[in-house]
Amino acid sequence: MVLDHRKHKLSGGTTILARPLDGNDIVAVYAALPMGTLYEADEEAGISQLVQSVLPRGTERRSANAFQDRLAELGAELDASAGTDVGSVTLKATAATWEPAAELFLEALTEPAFAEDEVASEVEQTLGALEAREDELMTRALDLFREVFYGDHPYHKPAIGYRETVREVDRDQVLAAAHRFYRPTPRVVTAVGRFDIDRLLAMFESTLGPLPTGLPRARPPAAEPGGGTQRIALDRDAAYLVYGFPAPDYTHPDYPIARLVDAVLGGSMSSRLFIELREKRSLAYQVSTLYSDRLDGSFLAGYIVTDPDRVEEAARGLAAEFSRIVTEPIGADELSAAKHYLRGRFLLGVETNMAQASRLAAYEVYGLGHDFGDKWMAEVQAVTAAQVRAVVERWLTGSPTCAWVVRTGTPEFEL
Amino acid sequence: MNKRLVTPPKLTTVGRVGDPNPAPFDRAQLDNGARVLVRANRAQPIVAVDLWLGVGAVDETDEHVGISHFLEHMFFKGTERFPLGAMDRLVKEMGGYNNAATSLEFTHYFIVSPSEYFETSLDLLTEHLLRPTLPPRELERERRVVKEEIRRRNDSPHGRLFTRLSRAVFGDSPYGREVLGTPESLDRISTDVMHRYWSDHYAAERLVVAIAGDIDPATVVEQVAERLDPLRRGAAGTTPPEPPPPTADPVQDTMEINQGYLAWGFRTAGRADLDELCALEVASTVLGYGMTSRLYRRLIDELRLVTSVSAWMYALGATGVLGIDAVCAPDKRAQVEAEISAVVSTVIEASFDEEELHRAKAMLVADFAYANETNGAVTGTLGEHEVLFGDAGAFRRLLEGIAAVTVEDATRALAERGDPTKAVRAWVGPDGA
Repeated sequence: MVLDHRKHKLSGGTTILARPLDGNDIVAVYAALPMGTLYEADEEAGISQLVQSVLPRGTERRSANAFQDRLAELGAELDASAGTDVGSVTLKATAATWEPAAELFLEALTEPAFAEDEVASEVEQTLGALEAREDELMTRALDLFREVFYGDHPYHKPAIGYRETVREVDRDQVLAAAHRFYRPTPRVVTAVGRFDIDRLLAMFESTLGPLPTGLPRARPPAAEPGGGTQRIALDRDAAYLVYGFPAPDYTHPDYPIARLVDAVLGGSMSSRLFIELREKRSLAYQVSTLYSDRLDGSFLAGYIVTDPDRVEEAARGLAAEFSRIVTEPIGADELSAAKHYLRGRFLLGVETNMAQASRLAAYEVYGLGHDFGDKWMAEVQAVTAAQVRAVVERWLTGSPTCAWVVRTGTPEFEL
Repeated sequence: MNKRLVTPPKLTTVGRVGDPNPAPFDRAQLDNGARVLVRANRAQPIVAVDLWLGVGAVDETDEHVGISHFLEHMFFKGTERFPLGAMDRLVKEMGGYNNAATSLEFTHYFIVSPSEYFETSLDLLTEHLLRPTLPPRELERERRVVKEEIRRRNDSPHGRLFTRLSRAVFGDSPYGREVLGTPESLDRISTDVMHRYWSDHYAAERLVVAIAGDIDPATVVEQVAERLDPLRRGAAGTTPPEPPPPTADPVQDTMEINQGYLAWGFRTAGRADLDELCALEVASTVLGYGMTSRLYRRLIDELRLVTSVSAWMYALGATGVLGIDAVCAPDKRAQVEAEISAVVSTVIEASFDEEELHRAKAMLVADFAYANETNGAVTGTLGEHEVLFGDAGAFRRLLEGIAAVTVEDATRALAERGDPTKAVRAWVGPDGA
């Protein structure tokens, strides 16, 4: 579905995409900028996320408490985060409070204080979160997968960083990183919901307008993922397995075809992995795929949470489905179902105003064009079985990457 | 579709334009007692169909605990007209998603899809409700899947923590049951037992059909009435009585983990006591919701003692729990508990100010709006309130109740229920901590 909107360039260069809607009383605003693990050296891992988490903790005008109090008073939510190559600052407000809430949003973007105390507090909290993160083993298995898959490429790092790198961070580093990423304002801001568009543009122009966005950031070289297997053994009750391959990026001609392959393998409760490993063999409650798509270094992985005594069977089962999709071609029914599935989920995926704001922002910040989604969806509908065969042979026959989190004492096995 | 002789149900509109979403909505009661709720929303070509049943773990016997949830899994195993796998395949072809959830007091099944497939969604869900095959071979397979679900829950520190807390707070009463059951109780559930449970409980009196999206309410209600005509009336569920008071002995468990996970629970009145519920919603928000809360400011901002901390309210039929949970370094447990206790005591003794009250209310009201943005969320709100309060519009009374809470009300309710010396305490941490 086309997300109609008005595109406007502020005088400093920030692109605003505004989509006024009156279906509900919610206003969603999304600022996107290139930041994240891709732009971090290994020794500063986690700095993007730290910048983002300190950002809503006070401005030059308001202390952290005063800032948060004011947001709460308006019933507004302001979140900032960073992932692999995009950072976001988002605002959710109601039609009645969006103007004062948007003022706070702009204040956080343009006058963040990054006070010493707040940095120290956030560092401390992140260190705790790093400990807790290791306790959730699905997360740990996915982290391990990325480490093996990306090797030395910057994408190997978890966005939250490592204990050693986070522990060292002080205010000066946060300030330097914030300057580097924001320099000094975001490149793209989108807004979706019930607001007055002229009022919104005027507000953004008066605050962000005078500030330059700087030159587009050069992306580091693309990832060249390799395969390999690593395992972690722990005295726990369940085992967590991730198994995957490189996959086409957004701009690769194979991208729409690979999304169909993903829909056949792991999409919904009527997918090959779900039917074979859960419905027929009762190996798991949770089994699915993850297509981590981006401008470079995309992957398609299957994952399963299983009985530690059945790890080898589950791992072989995952691998077998990735081979079977090469040896046993996708049938006409499967292909047609997958096409419908992607089309429907594409629509359902933008049901909320924030989801629309986020999709518009992602396409713009990646330079894909606002109609990228509609274009690839149209391409999906034209894909033939022969194209699918070529794509699975091209992408799913190399060396897999395997991350196994198993119980202590689990015998070694090879696929 | 063959037209049957069904009296066209009468629609009543609840609420008016300008009320908080999901009001206004239409409500109808069918001849057999089943209730239908419809919220039209033309913003996008999407529809959610959600069958709510007032059936959950509180309706079970101790022998077969977990059967409501196990039945929820078996619901998807086909009917004569839709053989095994057909529902999932059709929903995939619609580009929609289907799922289900079971709790202590309800079970619900839903499909969200592009609105052109409304009739298929309704057909699939009602057919599986009325005529599930419950095949024995699938029962055996699914029993193992549910055991895997238990394994996964028990391997998560939070999953284990809340299972422990709930058992400690509600004891042996039906409210203390584990919704997933245990491997042993699942093994006692035969096909016959499952079939009997379905036929005793999946009846019109306990059923609420909630629909939201790009549809016409009058037509939709007629279609639902036609489909559900064969459904037996059955008997409404009963609310288990308030359990005896909990003992204050702390419960704990160990796992190979880094952090300590702690939770406190205070028993409260059930949801019938709307005044207390609203007062405690406000009190728990002031105490532990978001970065402006008392617990966040003291334990995270000032002391940097925990990774996360929150307070919340969960009301059930004849009882409820006011909870506080936190994640911390294992060796900080005693200090964290002392600080939580101090924060709660301060609010009880010195109360809080009008600005905090105002912020808590603003957050609760806005969150309700944010939480009801999708059609799936709207059918969730309508269905849940109809099943639990017997009134889908009860959310309006709750929002009004919250708006009327004073600082004194919230403080008094907290003093009455939240005495830190009487907290039921649960802990999951590494060995030796």
